[in-house]
Amino acid sequence: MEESGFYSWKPPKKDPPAGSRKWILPVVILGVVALVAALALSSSFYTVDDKQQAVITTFGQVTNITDAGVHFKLPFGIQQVHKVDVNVYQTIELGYRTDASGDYQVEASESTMITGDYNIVNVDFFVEYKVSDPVQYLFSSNDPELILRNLIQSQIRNVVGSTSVDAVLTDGKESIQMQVRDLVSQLLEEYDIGLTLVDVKIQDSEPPTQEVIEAFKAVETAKQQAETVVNDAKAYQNAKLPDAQAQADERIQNAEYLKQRRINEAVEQVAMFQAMYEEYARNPEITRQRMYYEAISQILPGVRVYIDTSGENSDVQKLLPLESLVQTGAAGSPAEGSDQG
Amino acid sequence: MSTKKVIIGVVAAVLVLAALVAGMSAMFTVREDQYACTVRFSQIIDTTDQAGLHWKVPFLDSVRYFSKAVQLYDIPPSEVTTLDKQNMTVDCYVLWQISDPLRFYQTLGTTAVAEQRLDAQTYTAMKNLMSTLAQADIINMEDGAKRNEIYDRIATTVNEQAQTYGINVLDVKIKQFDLPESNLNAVYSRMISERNQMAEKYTADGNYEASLIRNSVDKQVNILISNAEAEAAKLEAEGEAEYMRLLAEAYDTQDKKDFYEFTLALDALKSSLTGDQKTVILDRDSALAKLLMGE
Repeated sequence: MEESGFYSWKPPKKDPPAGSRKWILPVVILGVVALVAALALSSSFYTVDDKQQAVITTFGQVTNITDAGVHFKLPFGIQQVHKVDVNVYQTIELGYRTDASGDYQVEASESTMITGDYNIVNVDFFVEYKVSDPVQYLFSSNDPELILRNLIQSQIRNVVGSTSVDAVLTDGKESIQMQVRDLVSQLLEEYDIGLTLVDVKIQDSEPPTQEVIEAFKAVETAKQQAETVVNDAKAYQNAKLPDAQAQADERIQNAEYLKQRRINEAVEQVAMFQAMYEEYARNPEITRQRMYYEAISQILPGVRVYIDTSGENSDVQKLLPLESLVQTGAAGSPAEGSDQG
Repeated sequence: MSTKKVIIGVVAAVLVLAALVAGMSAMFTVREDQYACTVRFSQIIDTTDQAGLHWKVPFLDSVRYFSKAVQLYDIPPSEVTTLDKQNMTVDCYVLWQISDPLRFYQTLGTTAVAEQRLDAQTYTAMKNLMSTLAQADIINMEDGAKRNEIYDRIATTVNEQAQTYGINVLDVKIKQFDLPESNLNAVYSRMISERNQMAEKYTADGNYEASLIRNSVDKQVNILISNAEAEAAKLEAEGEAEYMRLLAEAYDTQDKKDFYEFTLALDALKSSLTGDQKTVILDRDSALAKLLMGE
């Protein structure tokens, strides 16, 4: 018999070596399990530092709040950790910004405001707040800091808008700070966004433009100058009055002295006269003559003496010159005086 | 035999996987700040505001989330006119919250649309309210908290309107009210002239007070001096009077008076005839002439 001519040979079916397939599968399963376990482990613990609290949500619902330390949770996103800084004072700057190097940048639009007496001022505020309720902070609003910032701005303008410009610029700052603090705290409680206000401080307050600042300074200068002028007048008073008092006293003292002196003159004169009179009274005629000649002897040494020898009926005046009795001692001879026409 | 095993194994694996997937699709979580609406065939069939794990029909139902949190919308500044025709620039903010997600979705749909609507309604409510107030009701020296009451009125009005959109308006506050730009220079000028007036007043008051003091001092000085002069004159006159009295007392008899005149005459003689070149003319009959001529 003739055949087709091809002979195909099929190799016998062979079973794969016993044991090799069995060996791979457990290894793979072990590997997967190990991987899953590792993943589970890494997502099932967390740490909280002491400035924070952690809010734990299970399937989105708040179930726990934990403090500082290491904690465990369910892995794979069943439980999630939301950490919140609760023990830290946060700050808000209004009207200015502090940049990285510590310098101030002015934000005029935030700081310009109207006062209760229709004046305009620039006031910068420094605000401190902190998280009071981490759950509310996380979930009650979608931007609690922004809400707080806007609330503060509105209450600041409420208070400053009811204050006089002089109070804002000088002595009313404490009061403004307190009022803003009270209003914001009260409203913050109503808002309930998990934040609480710690402090409000006025950083700086001044008039709006350079010219206005100059005008305010000019008032202070005028005030001081006015004080100086008044003080000068008081100094004048303090100098002049005592001086005049002294003059007046001196004048009176002097007058007393003069009065006394006049009286003493009189007393002296009277005493002298009394003495002379006593003597005179004893021998009046002799005393008279004596005194007379004493006087004459005092006078004559320096005097020229003429004797009028013309009689009563004489038409011609004749004068006899005499030398001084005392000095020359010789009586002068009578001589004709010159005719007087 | 082994093929069967493999097929069973694969089918089992696929079934497990499918169950897993279905299971996962039947669950959804809701956060504390969310509403979740279950949507079937593009219709909202259920709403929940409870946080946690919830169930729905797998694959068929989908979930749409809406924010339950309070949101802030800052309305851009706008000009309003008060009752007394004064212009002011007002910047306010609105705190709002979705209260009814279904209605919100039906009427507005997204936050952007909601903000638009709030913008328009709040602006209108505020403008209307401001037109019933004088500028002095906003800018005055009364208690700052009173303005919050005005803001509450705006909030109440807008909140009523917002209910139809499934929104609660929690608060409206004006965070900045200013005079329009064009008024600013006028205000600055007024502030400057006010301060100048104050400065002038201080100067004038100071000068006035100083001149009062000086005039008073001068007056007092004059009085002091003239009083002293008067007193001094009085004293000197007293002295003079006493002098006269003492002398009169001393020369009380005629004899004494004559003697006194005699001494005075002699003193007068002595004082007038001292010095150089004095000349005396004696009468021939005088005692002295007789003496001198040896009679």
